[in-house]
Amino acid sequence: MDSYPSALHRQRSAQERDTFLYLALGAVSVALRLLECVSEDLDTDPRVGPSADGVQMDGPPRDLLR
Amino acid sequence: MQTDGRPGLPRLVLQEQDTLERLVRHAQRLLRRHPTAARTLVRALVAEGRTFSSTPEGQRWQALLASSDLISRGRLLWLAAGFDRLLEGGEEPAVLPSDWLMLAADTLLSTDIEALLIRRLREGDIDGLLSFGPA
Repeated sequence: MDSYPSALHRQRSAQERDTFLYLALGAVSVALRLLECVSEDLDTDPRVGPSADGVQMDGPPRDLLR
Repeated sequence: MQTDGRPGLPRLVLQEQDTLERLVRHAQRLLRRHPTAARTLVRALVAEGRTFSSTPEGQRWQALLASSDLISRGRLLWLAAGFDRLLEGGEEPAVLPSDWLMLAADTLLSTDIEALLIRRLREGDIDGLLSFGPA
């Protein structure tokens, strides 16, 4: 039977090799960053998202082509 | 239609496995057609995940994902389909997807896109800018 440190080490090594988990984590990271960018642009809290009445902004929507 | 082990009792089975098999085959076909692009994308996302896992927020998400049944099932399929081979023998990307994203977001908001498009149009390069065709 493994000692606790070696079992922990084995678990960590297995996690290190778990590329699918890192792939999913990478996708989450990118999604969170994208959410941050959009929320920052629209001045909303990324954890809350737009309100039911619509996105609250200080001024009119920005024309990205101007 | 299948029987439930008892004669005379038909059982309707939804063909979810077929859908999953089709998805895996589709992904494998994409990999065969675009191996370099697939490798680049997968390596970039894995590198992003490893970097994110070194932050407190990333560690919280990692623990959450590690306990997810969806991730467990996805991992099984990922390994069985041999998608792990995409990561063999490659170098870590120098720039992570989130870096590209931040750069794109910053420049999108600070650049005069209309002027950029007009300039590219005048240079005769508008097709290269807006299409996904070969350069």
